[in-house]
Amino acid sequence: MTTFLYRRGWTRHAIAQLLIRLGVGRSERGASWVYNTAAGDMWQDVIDLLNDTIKMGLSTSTHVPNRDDDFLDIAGTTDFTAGELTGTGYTAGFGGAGRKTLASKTITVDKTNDRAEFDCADVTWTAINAGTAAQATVLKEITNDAASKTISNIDTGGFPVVTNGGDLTLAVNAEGLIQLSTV
Amino acid sequence: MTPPTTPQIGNAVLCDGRLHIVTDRQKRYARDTDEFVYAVLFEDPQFRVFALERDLRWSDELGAWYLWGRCLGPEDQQAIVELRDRGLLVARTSRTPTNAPAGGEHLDLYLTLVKDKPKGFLTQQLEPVRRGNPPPPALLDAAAAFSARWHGPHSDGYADPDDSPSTTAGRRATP
Repeated sequence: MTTFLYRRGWTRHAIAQLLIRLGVGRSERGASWVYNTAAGDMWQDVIDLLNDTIKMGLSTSTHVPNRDDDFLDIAGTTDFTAGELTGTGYTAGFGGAGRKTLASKTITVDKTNDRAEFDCADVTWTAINAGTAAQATVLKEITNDAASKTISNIDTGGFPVVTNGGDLTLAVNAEGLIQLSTV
Repeated sequence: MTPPTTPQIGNAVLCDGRLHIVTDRQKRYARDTDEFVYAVLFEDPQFRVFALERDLRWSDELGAWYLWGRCLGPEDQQAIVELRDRGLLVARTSRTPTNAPAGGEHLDLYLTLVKDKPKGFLTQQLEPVRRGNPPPPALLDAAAAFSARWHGPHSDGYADPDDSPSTTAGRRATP
């Protein structure tokens, strides 16, 4: 099976539409994707998207995401921890208020479009002034950043975003944040 | 109406602008917390949706369960963004233009701008505005209804479903 990750076009009214698609038998790739180990973890129920506390964090371009990075902190200069935003309205680090817990999560079976979707409420950082967010990372915190799992990376659909003291709402695509297609 | 304490089969759930019917309730094990939790399955003709029971909230006014930040459908969300960008609908002073409504605003927006309105109401009402005409009275009435709620107690949080109305510093600045 080939993993296929794809960003859907974002509407002119949303600053970011976040969507990653996991497909079957496709090879197209986009700039937003699920980390390799996370894909396996989800299948093995090591990451339970519905039951676990899943968060989203923001990072600058210092963070150069790699699909093989399993953890937020891999003791490098370009991992998520190295590039995480910090400033007004965003407290970085493990358990920091900058990492927003995904709320109202659902797993939806869409029989018309032959897929399952993981979805959640849009994510808002209020009055944030913490630099330029180059991407959002979906993550699961475990003990510390060296053990916390990367799940997916999203750098399309409106990124980079310059924070300027106003609220920042990332609009999750109406068709879900992550899809598993059956066709 | 006596609010039910837990979602029951046959109850309605509002999610993404659509009303679904609860068809099942399942006990599951959550490894993270080492406890059993309940998931609720609700369906409409196209979608089968699983959510955690603890995430569902009851609204007497809605007469249904809902998910925080998931009340509005995509078309209505876009219309609301446009209304706010045009200055026709009250918004938080720190709102960034083009941004979608925050999660804590969804229920009030749905109740005042979508519920009991014809399908596509907001989009239709915006059409004359886009052509440079004044907003239709029905649109102004709906926007006023939302404004009236804006200054009232806000139990749904703004950006965080666990926000308490008692810690409102800066959250509901007068527009």
